[in-house]
This record gives sequence, structure tokens and C-alpha cells, in this order.
Amino acid sequence: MSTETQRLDELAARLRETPLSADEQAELDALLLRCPEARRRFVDHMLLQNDLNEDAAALLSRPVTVSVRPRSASWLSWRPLTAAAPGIVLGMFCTSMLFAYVAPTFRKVMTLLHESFESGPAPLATGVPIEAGQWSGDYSEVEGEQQGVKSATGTQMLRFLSADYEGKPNPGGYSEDLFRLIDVRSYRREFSDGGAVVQLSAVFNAVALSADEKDECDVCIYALDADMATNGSMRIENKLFTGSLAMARSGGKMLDRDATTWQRMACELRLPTNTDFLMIRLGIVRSSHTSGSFVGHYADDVRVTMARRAPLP
Amino acid sequence: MAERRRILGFIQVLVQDRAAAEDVLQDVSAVLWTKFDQFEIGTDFAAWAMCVARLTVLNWRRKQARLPLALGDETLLLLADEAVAALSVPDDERREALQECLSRLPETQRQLLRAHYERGEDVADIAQEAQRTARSIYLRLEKIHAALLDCMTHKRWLNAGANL
Repeated sequence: MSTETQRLDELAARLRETPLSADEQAELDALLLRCPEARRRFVDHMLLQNDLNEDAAALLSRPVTVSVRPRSASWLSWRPLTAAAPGIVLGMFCTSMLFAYVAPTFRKVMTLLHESFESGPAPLATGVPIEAGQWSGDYSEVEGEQQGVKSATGTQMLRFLSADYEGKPNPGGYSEDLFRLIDVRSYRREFSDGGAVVQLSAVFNAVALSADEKDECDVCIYALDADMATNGSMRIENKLFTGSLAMARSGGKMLDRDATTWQRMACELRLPTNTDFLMIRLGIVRSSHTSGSFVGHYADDVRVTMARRAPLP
Repeated sequence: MAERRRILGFIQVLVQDRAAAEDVLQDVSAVLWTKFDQFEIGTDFAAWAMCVARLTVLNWRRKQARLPLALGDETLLLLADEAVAALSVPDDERREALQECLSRLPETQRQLLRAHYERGEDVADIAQEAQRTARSIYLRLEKIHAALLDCMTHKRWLNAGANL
């Protein structure tokens, strides 16, 4: 168990019994913000507590071999809600019945990609990829801990090296991008009714930058049809933007000049029903335009998930 | 019930307090009820409800003079994403894993959990009854929780391996 997880356990235990001090709250906030493992553990703590609070009797008494099935209406018999105003009780009761009546089988949030750069081929420096399953874009490499930056998960992370790729027509830019194409045709059943969203999330870090370096990170998802994804036209600058079926971007977040903290960026895209491929993009935009080289900019823990979500009317 | 438990769990992650989570669940239920015509039958009800819950929690937090735990908005949104991922595991599967992990605990530890969670006794009462210090009971509970989480993480890892 890592020291961070151990500390998280201590804070979660204290939180169960007494309010945390201001210092402990700040410590917990910082720990959760920088450490994905701590977040997972904290969520597990809260869900365990919820399960035990809700149904300790059943969980502790039933034989292991018997599947747990919720006892019908038992919660209404003792829950403090029964003391609430009749209207609220009625509303809650109706809604709870609604849960039971209309809730369909829970479909999983499907992970399309979880990349921590621990294994797999090195990223290519050949610009926008036209084949799925391979990182490609500007020059980059996979590295271990360096320059005071430790990987967010595992021991490896992606390092951005320059804003150019092999054979780039106009080299010397200040924005480095790395792409990956994901084939989602086998998931079409999940989004053919327009009721699915894709989320992209990644963490970014950089060495301690000087005060005049206001470098930013961004993430982007493009939905593409098969022709657009594979015919090579995307290699032309801005074609991704103009030729995609839909896109979502989250950007403009300035890197914080603290090599010990990772900053998460995330964006979400509702999938058009005719999507065949997703193109994801991780980007760093340097503020100092004098050089296309990158002194120490990193990304890690890239996740792409698909989830069912009813569209708003 | 499984959906209710899942949504309450999601709220618990974001408000970190049982009583507050129950309050927020009432607010969420009211919103779900009024907006139910917007829910598309056949789609994921819990995912829709958790989207509503996420916004409701943020509004609820803004109205509180004092929060159970003052986490930043960015941290909170990361936790919400993590909770959605964790709750994507079918409820029955998660509960069966927990039940099995509970069954592996020594009987004395199971008794301690029964006293605390089933009968609602606080740490001081349990300590007095067992003629121990509150600190020792508190540490035992911390150890039990950690053991349960390690056990469930291990089972999850085994299941993931089995599904590859």
C-alpha cells in the first residue's frame, strides 16, 4: 500500500467519526486532486460506508452463496424520511417506486481506452494517424520519472518533445499535439439512438516554468465517419475541425508551474449516430513562440469512456 | 432499490455525510420526478439520475454555510467521474463481493461492525461496553475498513482478469 493510500485511509477514518480540521481538509483536497489512486480509494471508502449504513444487517448475516436481493420496502419502515412532511414522503415513495419500475438494466460505463503509457509501442511522429490503436502526432516519447516529475500512474508518462512531425510542411510551430484514432463501430448498438456520450480525460504536468511562460494544455474529441478517418485528408491542417461530424474540446488551462502536481483536463461529446471512429487529441500550447522545443511537458492517465445518457430535450 | 442505493452512494461520495446525502437524495428525487418526461425509456436510468444528482449536489453545496468536507470544485468533479466509473459495476456483483469479504473477517470484527452499523452504536459506547479505549475501537474500525477495501479491490482485479 502506498503512503498516499495509507494517509487517505487515515483521513477517511477520521472523517467517518469527526469533522476534519481545516488543515486536514486542505491536505485531503490536495491528495485527491493529485492522486488518481487516492480518488479511487476515497470513492471506495464512501461507497463501503454507504453500503454498511444502508444494509449492514443483510450484508453481515446472509450466507455468501446466496445472491443479495434487496428487501422490498424495508427502508421505508425505519428511515428518517418517514418523519418528513407527507408530501415529501409521497414524492419520495413515488420516486422510489419509479426507480424500481422504470430503471432498466444498468449498462456499464465502457472504457474505450485507458492509457498510462506503461507498455505498448512508442508514439509515432507522423502526424495525424489514419489507423486505429496507435498514438501519433508531433514528436514525443515515453519516459520515466525525470526533472522532478513523477508519472501520475505507474512509472511511465508521455513527454511532449516538439511541435513538429516528420515531413511537416511548415515546421516550427508552438502547439504540440498527439492523436489516437479509436474504432467505435463495434459499439454502435450503444449509441445508434443518439443516447450515448464519450468522455475524454487526461492529466498534464510540466517542469517549473518561468513566470513569462504561460503554457496551456487541452484535450479534444472528434467524431468521424470511416471515410474521413482513413482517407488521409485529416492530415491537412484544420481538416479535422471542418470535416468531423462533431467535436468537443476543453482547453486554455494554464500549467501551474508545479512539477509535483498533475492537472486534469476532460471533455465530453454526445456521439452522432453515424460515428465510426473517434479521434482524440492531447495538446500543449507554448506561450513562448520563439522555439518549437518543449522543455518538459508531460501527459498521463488518458481515459476514454462511453456512457449511456438520455439527451436533453 | 438497487438504483436508489447506487444513486445514494454517488451522492455520499460527493457530500461525505450520511444525513446530508439523504437530504440531497430527496432533492434529487424531486427533480427526477418533475423531469421524468425528459427521461428516455430504455436508456440508462441511473446514469441520468447521477447527472441530475451531480448538479443538485453542486447547488446544495453552494447553499451550505458549512460543509461536512470543504473540497474544491475540481476535486469534486474528479470524484464524481470516479464514482460513476465505480458504480458502473452491477450492484449485485458489488454487494456479493462485499458480502464475501465481510464473511472472511474474524467474528469479533463482524460483531464490531454489527454494533456500529446495524445497531448504530457510536465508538464511545462500544468502547465503554468492551472496556477498551475509544481510540482502540476507532483504530480497529479503520483497520477493518482498510481490509475490506483491499479485499474488494483484489476481487475486482481478479474479475477484470477473468473478463479479459
